[in-house]
Amino acid sequence: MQRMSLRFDGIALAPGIAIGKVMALHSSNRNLVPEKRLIEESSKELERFADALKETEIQLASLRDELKTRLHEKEAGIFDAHLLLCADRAILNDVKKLIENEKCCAEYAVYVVSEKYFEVLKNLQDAYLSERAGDIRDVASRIISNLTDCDIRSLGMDDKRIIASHTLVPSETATLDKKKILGIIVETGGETSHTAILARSLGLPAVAGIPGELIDSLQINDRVIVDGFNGRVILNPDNHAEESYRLKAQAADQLRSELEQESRLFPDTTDGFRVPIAANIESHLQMDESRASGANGVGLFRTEFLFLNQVVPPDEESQFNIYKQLLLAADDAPVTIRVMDIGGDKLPRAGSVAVEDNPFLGLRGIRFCLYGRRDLFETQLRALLRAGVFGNLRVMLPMVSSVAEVLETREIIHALQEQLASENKEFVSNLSLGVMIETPVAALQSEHLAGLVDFFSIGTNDLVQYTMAIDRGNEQVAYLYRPANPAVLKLIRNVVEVAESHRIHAGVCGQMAADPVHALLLLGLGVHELSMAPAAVPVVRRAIRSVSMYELEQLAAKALGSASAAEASKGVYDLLMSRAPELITEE
Amino acid sequence: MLSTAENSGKVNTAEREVVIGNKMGLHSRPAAEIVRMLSGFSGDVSLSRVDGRGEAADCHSILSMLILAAGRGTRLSLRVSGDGADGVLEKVGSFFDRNFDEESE
Repeated sequence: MQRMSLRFDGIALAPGIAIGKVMALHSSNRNLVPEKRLIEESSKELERFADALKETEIQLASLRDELKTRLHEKEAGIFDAHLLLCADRAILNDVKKLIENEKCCAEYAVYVVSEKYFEVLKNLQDAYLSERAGDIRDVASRIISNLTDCDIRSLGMDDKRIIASHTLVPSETATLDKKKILGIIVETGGETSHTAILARSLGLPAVAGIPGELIDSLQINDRVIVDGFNGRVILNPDNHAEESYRLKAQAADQLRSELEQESRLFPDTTDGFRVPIAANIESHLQMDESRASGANGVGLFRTEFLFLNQVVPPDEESQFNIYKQLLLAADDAPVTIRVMDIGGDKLPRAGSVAVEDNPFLGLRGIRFCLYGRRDLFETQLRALLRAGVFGNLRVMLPMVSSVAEVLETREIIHALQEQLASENKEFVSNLSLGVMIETPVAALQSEHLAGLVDFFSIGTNDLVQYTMAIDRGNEQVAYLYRPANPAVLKLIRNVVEVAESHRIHAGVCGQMAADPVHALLLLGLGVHELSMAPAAVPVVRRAIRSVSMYELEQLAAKALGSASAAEASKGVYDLLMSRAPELITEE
Repeated sequence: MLSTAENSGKVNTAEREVVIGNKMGLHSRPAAEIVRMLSGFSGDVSLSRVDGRGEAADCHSILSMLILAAGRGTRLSLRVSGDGADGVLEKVGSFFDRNFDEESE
């Protein structure tokens, strides 16, 4: 029977299109509490346990070795930690004791012991150790899989499949045999989750944000289309949809291999203007991905993720090491680090924050830094000042809405520099400091900010939202969200003009820069630099190389006088359609 | 686990006090290093808090040592039993004395 065709829009994790049968890893298959089966002879059970352990160690070691050649050494380190846990005497002894004393099966014993240690570690109130708690569960479920012969790879993976799961833990993502996987669908996971980074490095299309109930309802022979460009999943597509996606997939493959050849080309327009393209990243693990895309340095390193998942905020030393590593990896290319952008929809677990009626208009960004948790802000600035000596660092302040905020931050930086000098520590004395232009007030007052800073970075996600009074996250109005709205374009044009008269540069690091049509519109408005997710860099580079700055300036001038977003972007859209239609993937 | 040491009369036992001096405490890297140091030694090695809180940790187990949650300044009693206990005590003890070769600042 043909099941009904359904379409879901989620978050695009990794580009590409996959069409095929689904393999759902239901949570019940993996996190099932093993039944307490009583056994006759504990010696046989101990042997089964020893075999499963050996099998697990071999798997982990080969996973580690495989990852070492393919990815960052750090990523492989996860499996080193798992191997140590697997061979840990406290766990082994407890499991053996339980099997001998209780005469229970090994699966149950492993489960009970791992849960015991999981609880102990979880309750130690130490961010590092509570992370290790998850590792114990991960290793235990692998051992249990090996005991029950029901691990991912033996779940009937006879042919190529699209993997669907609520979430994928690193060891599962790494187990995925690329030859058998077409694509990935998950419920949870952001652009920088392990799943996303790994999927991109393997060239597998992936989409997150698909409801768990849908994943649970999937049946083994359901056909699915994963559209990793638009973050879309289509369940049981009709013949027409499948055929049209098949053509798109072919074109995408063709385009990808072409774009790979172009990664060393400069982003120059046909009339010779070079537009630096930098990468937006959240983890130093993405540096390889960024370099492979041909991006020049980092235009936005988001630091709030260092804070958001932590029980205890990271201290100066650990932040210093992260920033230093990043700067060294960038090899003197500019690295723009944004201080923690906390508040709005991003709330930390560490430190209590009062509940706000309207968090997007509340204590967020620089306001949180200055008036919420100034202690965390000072620690972060100290780490940045010290790390700055290892590369080309720029520091950026989010959500600035007044001159006073910049002046106050400058004073703090000055005081911290004196402190560091008195401690005989190395630090940068002329820190390059910029502000994000994300609010209409900052855009309109930019001439007063310009004299106080070294650069502007326009954060279009928020600028569009605050200018149009539209919450992108609210599905009832999200379709009205239009980055090319002429009011937004006018604000951007004003910021660029101010920057030029003050001889500082103005870049764009929002989602808008990652869309080829919008990116060209921004260049026409005079934006000096674009920063985007590494995956978008090759597409935007080709778009830039297919047009002239002269044409873009003409079209942007017209766009400024338009009545609507559709009218404003039409000129550039038509131009790109005539020069490089293959780059337009969004509907 | 420690019972084997007490049951067999001829086993050497050696003991001394150590103090955690590095900034991050007894975390997973030094714990793993200790396990590696002891890989050729089949005797019992334990760490327990001098103040008597918590259970003794088995130094053959990283997990067991992590659960001690021994931060900087914690005083611990290091106890080794088995053939060559003195040498092992010296080796492991000096690793603590060197602050696990980490910064103490």
